Amino acid sequence: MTVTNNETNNDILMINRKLVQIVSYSLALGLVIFLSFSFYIHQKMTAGLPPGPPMQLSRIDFSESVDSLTAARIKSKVQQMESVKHAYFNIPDGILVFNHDPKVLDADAVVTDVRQHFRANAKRHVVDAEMAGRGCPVTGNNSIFMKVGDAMARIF
Amino acid sequence: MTKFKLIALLMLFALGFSACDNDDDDGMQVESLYSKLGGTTMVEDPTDPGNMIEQGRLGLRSVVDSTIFVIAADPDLSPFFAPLLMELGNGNTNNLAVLSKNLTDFFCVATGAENFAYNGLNMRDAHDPAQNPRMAMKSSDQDFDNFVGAVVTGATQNNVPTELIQEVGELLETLRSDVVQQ
Repeated sequence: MTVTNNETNNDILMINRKLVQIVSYSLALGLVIFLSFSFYIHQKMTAGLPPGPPMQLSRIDFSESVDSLTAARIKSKVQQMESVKHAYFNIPDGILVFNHDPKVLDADAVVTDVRQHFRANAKRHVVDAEMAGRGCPVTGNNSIFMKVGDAMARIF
Repeated sequence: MTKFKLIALLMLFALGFSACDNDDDDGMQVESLYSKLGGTTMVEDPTDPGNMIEQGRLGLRSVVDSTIFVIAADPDLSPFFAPLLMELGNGNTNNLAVLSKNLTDFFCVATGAENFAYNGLNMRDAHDPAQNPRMAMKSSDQDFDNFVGAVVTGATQNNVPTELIQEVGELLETLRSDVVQQ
């Protein structure tokens, strides 16, 4: 009777061990598939993108009207800042847009500089989470796969 | 004699018919907008030294990149492209580059490029909030006019000849019924 009980216990332990093994292997396999798929999606999405660091687009809003001469001077000054590749000033609406490498140049520092140098009433346009979720039909690379793929691309 | 005349007439007819065919073929070969913008001629890519790029694609990419800045500075259009102005980090690593590439791919294919493919949603689905969760609101005729205006400004900044800008405008106009959904 005792032998039978021991055998049953052993069987249960074996089954448990097998079960744990199967679950572990399944999880590991799932993780590998998930990482591979993320990497694949990331590669597909970023194929053909220009080389170099990711550039950020930043916007400065001017609350008072800016004449064309001042706008040209502001644009020129911003364009001369390190890592800025291009700038565009929408004069009628008082909006300046420029791209830059955020690791090299902080957008808030640009606003401060423009404010001080031109005594302009300017502030940085900040996109909140609600606005960010509202649009851009062509991008949409913030999925979990893109985020994981991006992290993996940085590692490898 | 009559038989000979008949054969000669048939040969002349066949010759004339095939000649007409050739004329038609030549007349049908309309130069694509992509070719007019430089086509497949390889030039050095100014943003990627040492690598070559098709001149047509380079021209379109320049227009697209300028247009993106015009859109981002337009208070009416920028809400459609809000993620463009998001802080980098938090998963937003390259919206600007992705938008530039996707729009350039689209324009290349739409203007007649053969070496590129656009793999995004079709225009109707891309602009339908029910099909594309990234599109939170339907666009109006005014929004579309603003977009065309932004492309024209972008093309003008890159010295694209007026007649070609007009062709781009005509091309965009064909998309209006798919894009405008309210």
